[in-house]
Amino acid sequence: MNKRNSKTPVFLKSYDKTKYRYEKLKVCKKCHAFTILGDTTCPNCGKPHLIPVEEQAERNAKHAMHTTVLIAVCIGLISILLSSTLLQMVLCGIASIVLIGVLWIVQRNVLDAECLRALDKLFHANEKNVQDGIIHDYKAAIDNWDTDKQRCYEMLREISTLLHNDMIRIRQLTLLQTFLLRKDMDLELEPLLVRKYEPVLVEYIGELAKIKRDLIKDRTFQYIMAYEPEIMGQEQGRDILTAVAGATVRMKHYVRSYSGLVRRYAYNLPKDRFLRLYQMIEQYPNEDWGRLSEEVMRIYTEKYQWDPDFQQKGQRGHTI
Amino acid sequence: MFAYVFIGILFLFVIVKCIQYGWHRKKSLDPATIDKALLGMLNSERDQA
Repeated sequence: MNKRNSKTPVFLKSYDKTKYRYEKLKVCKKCHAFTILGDTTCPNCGKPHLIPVEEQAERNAKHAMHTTVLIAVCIGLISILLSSTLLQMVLCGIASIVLIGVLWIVQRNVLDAECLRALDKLFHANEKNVQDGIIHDYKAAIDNWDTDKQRCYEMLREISTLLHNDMIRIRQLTLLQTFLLRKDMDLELEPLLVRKYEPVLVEYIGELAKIKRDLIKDRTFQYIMAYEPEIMGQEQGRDILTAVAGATVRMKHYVRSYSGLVRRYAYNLPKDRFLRLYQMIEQYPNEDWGRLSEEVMRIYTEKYQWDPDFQQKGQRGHTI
Repeated sequence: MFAYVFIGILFLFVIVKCIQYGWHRKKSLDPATIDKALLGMLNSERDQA
């Protein structure tokens, strides 16, 4: 209870998920610094010249195309200037216009492909700038660690779009544990899964199991099962494991896949979760539940045999 | 005479450019590949356990 009281209520900005991660990256037109944070003002030079990288790539592609057209126009003009007769001049003029017209039409048709090439080239040519920009963003985020945790988390969340490492994930998780989490918050879980056992991640999963079970999916269940002994040893570990077992009950696929986990903590499940589990096993008696069905029947007999909620469908005998 | 030479040069220039654009388009990168390459670039040395 004390732990909950020390948590801060926050209203996190919604996370805009883009189709491709590079769409979050911006570049300064003036100093060519890259950043994933900031709207229009460059964090490096302070000028309002930030544009999305796609826009910069399009500019680069169009610039190259215009240069090509300019060269073609120059060659055409030279040919006209070198004409000795009016007929030659007219023919050269017409030929130049036709050829430049063809070039322009082809350029229009290939613009999209050229923009993508320019984007790839932009990243490869500015690899160090991109890396430096992200590091700069990370440092700017950490500067807010003590003064504005919400802002710090929001910045780290953006940076983690491109930087995938456990250090950032753990920092995000540490910050999340200082917030009072609510169901309506834009939370995530799978991107925050780390490779090793991390108590702060387990606590976070435990919280999500209560307020946003739908975020707990296969990778999370596998993580929990991999570190089950360590989790049992941490504070409220059993409660967290029970809550995660309760989260499996929302889908038959999860109960079947992680029947061992569910079986070990079925006894402590809240009534509504156990009822759902019981009804699932009743509804699909031919599924391969392993030893789970025996355990569920045992718990039912011990705790809920006379409970009216369990009698609505349970008219058959349930002897083991 | 030289006028036609330059028209010839212009013609070859446009043909080469069109072939180049066509080749780029044929081998066009898709955004997902660029995305993956960017992630590989940023995480190759940093993605440590």
